[in-house]
Amino acid sequence: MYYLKNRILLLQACLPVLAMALFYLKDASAVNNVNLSIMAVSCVIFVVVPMMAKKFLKNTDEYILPLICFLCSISLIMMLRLKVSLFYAQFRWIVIGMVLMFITIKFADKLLQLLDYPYILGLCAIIIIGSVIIFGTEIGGGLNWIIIGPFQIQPAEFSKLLILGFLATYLQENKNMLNLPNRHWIFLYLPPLRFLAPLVMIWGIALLIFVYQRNLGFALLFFGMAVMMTYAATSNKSYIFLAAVFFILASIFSYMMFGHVRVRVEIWLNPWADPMGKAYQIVQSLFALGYGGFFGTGFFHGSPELIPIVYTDFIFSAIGEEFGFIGVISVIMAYLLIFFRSAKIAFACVNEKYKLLSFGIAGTMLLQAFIILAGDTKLIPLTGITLPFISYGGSSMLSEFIAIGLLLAINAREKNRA
Amino acid sequence: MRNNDINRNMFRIVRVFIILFIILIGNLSYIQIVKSEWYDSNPLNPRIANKENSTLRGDILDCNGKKIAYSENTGKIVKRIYPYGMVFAQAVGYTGTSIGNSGIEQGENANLSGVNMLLHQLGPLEQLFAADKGNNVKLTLDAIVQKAAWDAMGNKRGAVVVLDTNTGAILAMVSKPSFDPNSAAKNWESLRVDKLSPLLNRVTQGMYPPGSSIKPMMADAALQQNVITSDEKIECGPYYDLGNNQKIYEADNAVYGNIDLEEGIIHSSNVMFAGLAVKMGEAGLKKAFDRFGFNDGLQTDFAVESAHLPDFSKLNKGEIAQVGIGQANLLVSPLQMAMLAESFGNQGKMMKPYLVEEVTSPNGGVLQKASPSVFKEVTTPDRADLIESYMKNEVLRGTGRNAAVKGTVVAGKTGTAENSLGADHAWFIGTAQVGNKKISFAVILENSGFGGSEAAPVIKDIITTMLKED
Repeated sequence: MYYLKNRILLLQACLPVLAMALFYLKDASAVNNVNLSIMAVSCVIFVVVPMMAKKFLKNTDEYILPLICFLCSISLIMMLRLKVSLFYAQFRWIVIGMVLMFITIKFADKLLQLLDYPYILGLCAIIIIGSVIIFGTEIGGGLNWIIIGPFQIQPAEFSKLLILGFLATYLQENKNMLNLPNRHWIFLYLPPLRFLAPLVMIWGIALLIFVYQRNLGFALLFFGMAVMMTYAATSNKSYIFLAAVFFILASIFSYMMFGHVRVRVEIWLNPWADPMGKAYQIVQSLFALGYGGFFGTGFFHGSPELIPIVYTDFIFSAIGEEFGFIGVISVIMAYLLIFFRSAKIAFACVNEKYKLLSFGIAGTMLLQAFIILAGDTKLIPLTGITLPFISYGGSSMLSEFIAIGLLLAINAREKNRA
Repeated sequence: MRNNDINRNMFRIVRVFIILFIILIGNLSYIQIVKSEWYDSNPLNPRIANKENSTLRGDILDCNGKKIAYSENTGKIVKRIYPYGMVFAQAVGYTGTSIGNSGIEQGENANLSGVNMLLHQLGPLEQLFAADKGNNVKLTLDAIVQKAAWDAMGNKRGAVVVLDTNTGAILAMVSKPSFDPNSAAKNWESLRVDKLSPLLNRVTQGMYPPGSSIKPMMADAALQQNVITSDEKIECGPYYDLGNNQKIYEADNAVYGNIDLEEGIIHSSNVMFAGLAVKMGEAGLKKAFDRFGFNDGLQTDFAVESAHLPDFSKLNKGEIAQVGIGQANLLVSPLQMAMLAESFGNQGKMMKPYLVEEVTSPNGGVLQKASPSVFKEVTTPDRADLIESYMKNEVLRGTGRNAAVKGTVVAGKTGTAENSLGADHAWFIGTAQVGNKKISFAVILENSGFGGSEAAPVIKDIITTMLKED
């Protein structure tokens, strides 16, 4: 039984093989030596990497990495299906990401020492996010990218980790202060402003910059991240109330001030007002999901190419069209399982900084998945943000792997200490 | 604040996440399961159309298996070819990515395209059953009859419909002016705005005053409502006086004198039928139109426009008399008039008209076969036979003489309908025995004058051709 339990998590490695077989049946021209070898190599990687991590780190969680490999294999299959050039690139990012993950694991002790300097982390995050305003290039209507040589980097992805580090330490160190209810105002219990200031500053600046950069997805993500971690650290509901008020005010403000925010909201409220123009993407996304139905059209039998730039923001809709409700539920379940396993790590931590940091990493990844999935399905206004481990994108892939490396390292560290 | 406080808070956050994802999955199942069909059929969704284009469209055949429409894969593009050009245009319709479908191409699209939405629900398994060619649709139309009707109409605007009296199968459905479906997409803009409406199927959707061709029905109604008997004679003067200096005259200012109902039909006496209508009154007329199915929405394998009947309760005496001779806000389609004639030739049974004989799969299996059905029993067999005999005599020695064909029996009723658009419309409706088949028909030629001299010869030509080919 133990043998089976451990091997069944390697099944994700079969996915690329199956996909190649389907490719061969449908479009033999897509099956050339290069694609075949990449798929073969990725099969090996998806088996070996979880095993290596287990060897490398005693007692770390053994379910998270196989699940991530499952998501990565879905990503590779979809890239090969949608755009072959991105298939090569995505494979490269996955490999680099995994290497970075091992480097993170190796130097985890040093990296975790950085948590002793929260304000530096916070400052770095603000500088990185802000750097886009100075050095950035606009791609796809958002000013989110810095181009260095052949690479496009989306700095916000990396600042995510820094902000998480800042929040974990700052909140852990100041949670008693933050919970001193020396101001009692109606039903709110608030600490003196000077304790609150750094939190509000970092948080507010990040939001403003993202709204300015038209990066609404990250604005929402950072906001949710901050609320989540503040509540976890302080259990003070006044912050949630304040955050809600702040969120509503900020939403109204940006709706009034920024045309692009207004357009997003209008598309969300009534996509059928301009289904062939502004709302084309979301309408086609809904068509794709609806056409897929319960079972999906089958790999290769849908028309996901009808959705513009389907391989980043709308990759979920492509999966929904060809693999159906069953397929997207599997993907959602994989995210939920990764979250539960990661949350378990957080629960087991003794060190409160690590506890908050690992819960932050887990929650942020799930929140990010939720924001884009809810956007694709018109549950909330669409905000361009990547689907972790599936959407095409180097910055996203690398930062997620670094975060996972950190998470696994914390897990091993805490367990081995006990 | 202890560790387990943080754990408790994290638990609460996990709960919030679970609720968020339940909402997300709920919404997703609404999109993918509940509303799936709605998204599929949305006209802005190109997926079904793309899929249809990926299979070769099935053939449309006439009742003898001659190809009326077929698709040809010429390397890169797939062309839809209509070998008869304009002849079948409105009945068979057109198809094209940019212009959509019409006629049979529209009504039988699911069969022709081979895209089966029921199969689509099977998901990937659909691929096991999907054919690379759509199903073939065999129509009741007979290319020989259709061509004969097309030729007989000449350059006139109007419509001809020929039915099989015993089944309701449509043998010919011609509407002029016409268009070439082979080049419909290319000429779309000019076709769409053409004032002569070539795209309109005048047989099913042309709305015309029936004029005197309504008189067989009036005769049946008068007999049924006992305002006249078959051997009763009525004095028909030069005009019917409505009072207030309003008079209804005979068509050629003739005076028929003391005549019975049969003579009234044979000579198409306006004076007699105006009088009968007034005697029946508004309620009697309404009952007659209801009985003959003019108010029953006809549902069949093509679209049919219902008759526009006047509001009987608001008619004054003059208008009631006008209805008796097929005028006054009364508009009917040629198909309805052919069905009216059919009911007299078929023992009072009006059959449901249909165009699709059978649907076969590319390898020949019959998927669907038409079964004739009675649309409505509108009158008694006795009265039907009686009225038909009047109509036979009209062709033998009355206004319908021009339709007579040697060696067969034709029953008919002419009509000359006044209208607001210019010269009178010429009508001819009736039945005829052609070989072992009994046909019913209606002809209308727009703005071309007398029914007897213009429309009746069209039927003569059609019957002559059919006999020759038989």
